[in-house]
Amino acid sequence: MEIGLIAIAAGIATLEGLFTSIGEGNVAAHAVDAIAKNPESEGKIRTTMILGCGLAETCAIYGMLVSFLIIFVLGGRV
Amino acid sequence: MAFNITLQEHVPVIIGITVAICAFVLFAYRKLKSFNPLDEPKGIVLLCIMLVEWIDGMVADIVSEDYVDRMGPFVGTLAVYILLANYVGLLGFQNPTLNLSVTLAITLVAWVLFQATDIRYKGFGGYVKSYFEPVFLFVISNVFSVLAPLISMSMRLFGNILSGSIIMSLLYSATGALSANIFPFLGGLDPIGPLIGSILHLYFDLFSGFLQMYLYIMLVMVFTGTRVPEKATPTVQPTTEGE
Repeated sequence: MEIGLIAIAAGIATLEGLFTSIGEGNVAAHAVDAIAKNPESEGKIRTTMILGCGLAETCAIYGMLVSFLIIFVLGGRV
Repeated sequence: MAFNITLQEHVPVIIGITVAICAFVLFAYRKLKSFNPLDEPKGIVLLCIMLVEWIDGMVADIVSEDYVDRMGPFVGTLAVYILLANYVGLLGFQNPTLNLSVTLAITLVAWVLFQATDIRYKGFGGYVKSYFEPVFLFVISNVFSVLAPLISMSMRLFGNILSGSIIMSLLYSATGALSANIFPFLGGLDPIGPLIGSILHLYFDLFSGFLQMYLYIMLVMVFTGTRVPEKATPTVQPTTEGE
């Protein structure tokens, strides 16, 4: 019973990745638009895009840290 | 009263990385000392020149031209240390960045730099006053916003490396069980693991390790750059210079 609830909690914590992936998709889509508008600045756009993706990814990483903590700390006690 | 000191498993790796960086710097220093500036640089000399030019260019771009000499060495040290700490997992050691104490310590140094830059340009009175702006009640949210980079920057580096490490260890336990079922005669050898693992190491260790290092030094420079006031007259001359 308890281990099942812990698994559900970890799954819910990982759901944060849903919105992060939407945001990262937005970042990539706009980068493609920008490259289509002026292709000569592709290198700069790529660097900025990767930076933005990395920053947006942080929220997903927090959710993943929480789910790891739930699995390994709470799960270890059962 | 007896002290019970237990060394964490990352400590030998941290000391090893520090010793390795010191040894490399001493070696490179002797090479650079005997280097004739008129010669064509190659090998370690070229590597050092490229690294220093890359870091100095970024600092001049993002922070300020005046900060190159003051902040370049700090950013370069961060870059080399974090990159080495992220890559040492490829050799089978524990990444030092898997320890929150390490990332928090690095972030603490950078955080002191942010506050010192604030005090330098606002003065101590202005720094204290900035906590109570725009009205007195904002002190709570201001304190939190000052402390937030401390948590977010250390957690970002720590969490990214931790996720890669945990996913890789899950993968290796899975392939270990799989190859124990398929090839029971090998006696615990895992031939499937390196096949899949080597591709994933490319992403989780090489790409992610470099990206996190780049993000970290970028954030340090951006946070410092927002605290350095712009010059009254913007410089018009182009910043790109050829060799």
